[in-house]
Amino acid sequence: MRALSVSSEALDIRTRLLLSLVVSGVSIYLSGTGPLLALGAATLLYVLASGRYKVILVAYLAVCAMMALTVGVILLSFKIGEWFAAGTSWEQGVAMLKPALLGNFHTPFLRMIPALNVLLAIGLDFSVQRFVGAMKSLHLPRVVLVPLMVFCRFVPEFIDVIRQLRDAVRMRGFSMSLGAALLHPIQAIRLTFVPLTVRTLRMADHLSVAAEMKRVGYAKRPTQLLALRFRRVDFAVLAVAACLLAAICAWQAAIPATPYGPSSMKSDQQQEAAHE
Amino acid sequence: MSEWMIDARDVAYRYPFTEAPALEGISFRLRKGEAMLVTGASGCGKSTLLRLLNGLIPNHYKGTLTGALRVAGETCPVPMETLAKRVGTVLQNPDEQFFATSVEEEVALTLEWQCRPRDEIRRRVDDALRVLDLTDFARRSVFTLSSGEKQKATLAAVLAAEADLVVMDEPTANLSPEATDELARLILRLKAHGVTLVIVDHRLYWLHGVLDRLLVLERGRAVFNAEKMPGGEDLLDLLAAQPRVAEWGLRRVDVSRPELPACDTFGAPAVEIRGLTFRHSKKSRLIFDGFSANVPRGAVTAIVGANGAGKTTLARLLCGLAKPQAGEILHEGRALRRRDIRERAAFVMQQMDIQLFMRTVREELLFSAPRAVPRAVREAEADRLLALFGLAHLAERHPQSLSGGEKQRLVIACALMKRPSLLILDEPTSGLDGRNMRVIAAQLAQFALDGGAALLITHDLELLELVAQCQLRIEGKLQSGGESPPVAP
Repeated sequence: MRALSVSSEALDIRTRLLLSLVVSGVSIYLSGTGPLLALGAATLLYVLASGRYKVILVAYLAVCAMMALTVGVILLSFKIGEWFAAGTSWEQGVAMLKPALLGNFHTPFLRMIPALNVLLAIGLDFSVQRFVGAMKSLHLPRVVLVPLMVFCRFVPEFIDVIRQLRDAVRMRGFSMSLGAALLHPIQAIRLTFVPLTVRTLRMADHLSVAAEMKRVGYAKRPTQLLALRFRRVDFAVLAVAACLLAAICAWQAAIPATPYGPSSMKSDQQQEAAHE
Repeated sequence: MSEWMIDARDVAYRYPFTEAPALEGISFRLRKGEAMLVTGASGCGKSTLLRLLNGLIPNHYKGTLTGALRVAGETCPVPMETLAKRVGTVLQNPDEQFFATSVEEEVALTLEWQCRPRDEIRRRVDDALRVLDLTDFARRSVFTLSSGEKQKATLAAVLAAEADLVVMDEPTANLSPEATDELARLILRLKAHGVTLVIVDHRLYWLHGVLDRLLVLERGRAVFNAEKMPGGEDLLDLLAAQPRVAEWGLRRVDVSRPELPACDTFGAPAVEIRGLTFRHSKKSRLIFDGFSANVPRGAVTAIVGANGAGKTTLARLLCGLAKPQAGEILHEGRALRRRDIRERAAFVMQQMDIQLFMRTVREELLFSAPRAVPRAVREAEADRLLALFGLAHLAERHPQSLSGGEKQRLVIACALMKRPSLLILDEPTSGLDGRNMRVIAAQLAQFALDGGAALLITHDLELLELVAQCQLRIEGKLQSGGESPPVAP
């Protein structure tokens, strides 16, 4: 599967960024279960091409957990209301929720799926190098490009500093876990905030010195040694995506409106009239 | 243009809000294709001089400059963008200098921001990579390079930018002896290409036969300023013969590689490693495969191995910071829980900033002592260590406000305050002058004399010569200490 990968080096990072942008926008527009499922399935195929099945499964399980948590919190609120005799009773709440669960309750979650898929496709094969290259080739203004380069350069080093700090704290007989932070919040701040702040400021100083010495930021449009080029596969994937998205949008336009999404926004009066 | 690449006459510089000048009365001249070493004890003004030469002063760091300074034909102060075209800088830690993520992009970066044509950039990048034997590394991430390779990548960037003057700040601080020798050869090649070099370093031995001028600073003033005469004596030998050299806190000019016995045969074990197997994750390579060794009690053991062999990983395993997939580590003959190991061991890491947490130096020491020790005993011990490490006058200062050398001494003092049975130090003397290095060596020797087991990860040959008594050699997939090959740390 990896050999057939379209989300790996075969695809330009700009193609993937464009796909994620357009698919996310379209998923907001869609409200019908059918079109959303179709978009979800198409983008699932796209992310499966990365071959990272385990991570994808974990991400999907997380979405399911989020959905279950939402339902659980709503049900709990009914139960609490019942305990305090100040709101909807449990039976009433469940009765109210049932049509929503069977109806359009899942729509926001279905909207998350395509966005999740396209973002996973970027994240699972993210290369700082290619990302910065893409940003350079887009000829972004230097006020955007330079901070972006600094950010991309800063993040891996910052992660390494956190790892080392965790070791240093453990060697002093303390822990950087959430439990330890909740039990001893002031100590947790002292053990993490001071060294991290000092180290971050020092890193920032070093980076600004390095930027000065390399003349980074002195030109409006720097030359780019490694120019990124769209290849046939990029055009092919974009063409297929455009056709699919157009078909799905047409399907959405053809089906009756639902209580969610821009295509179905009705006035309260219209909705009441429909109920009557 | 004048024949002088650098012409400094009575240069003085004072940082804002300070009374004493950082530099005073500095005069020297350096021709194209010559190399100069600037050395001296910590805080003597070496880095300030370097910042003057590469334009960071007064463009990035403000202050008052007096005297006459011409660098690469420009009269200072000059805007940074003018000087950056002619002067390249190599910092002590290349990681702090990288801006791009791949070697090729890093080398091309300065040229890209100079808006050079793409063909010219390609040619100059390829040439620089070829000169430094980095062609095969062009697409590699800079984060995956060894210390020596990183230093070469930084130099390649400077070469590609066709800098006339290269200033290097402690270039050997993180290099192995082999990489240091290679750097010396490289400097000779650069000189032959007409590049002028100013090297700021504590380590001296590697520069025999390389230098044309040597400047020793003490409290901002030149106490030794010599130029090599054609057929004259080597400048480092000349320095060693100076009657006051011992007062300047320098390192030795001649250092040899010590031959050490294997640790397994050295004495009673404090730590026994049995069949250790470790990899960072399921997909990463095996670092240790059934490795066994003994760490002797009452001795300083040098952990020896190439970059990436797993020296720091072994230190983390021995301290209970990482868990082996197989095998066991016995402390004083017992298999302990990792938390208990961490109570008995102390680990001094390379990065000092992240090991200092408290508001004052004294509090930092008190915080490091075991909780069970009575307050009065802790305070007496803190006072003793403050005096031993020359930190008593800094007791009420914030630890993060100390200089690099002072922080290094404080972190080691904190480790000793813990009263560990096993003390591991990872490059404890990189960037330290001779005086501070000898203070740390003496304390390490005393720790071993008191019956502790000390493990030393270092490329510092001088430190090894002073304190290391035996070696633990690791070579990727490890085998036990066994026979003793000559040390090549």
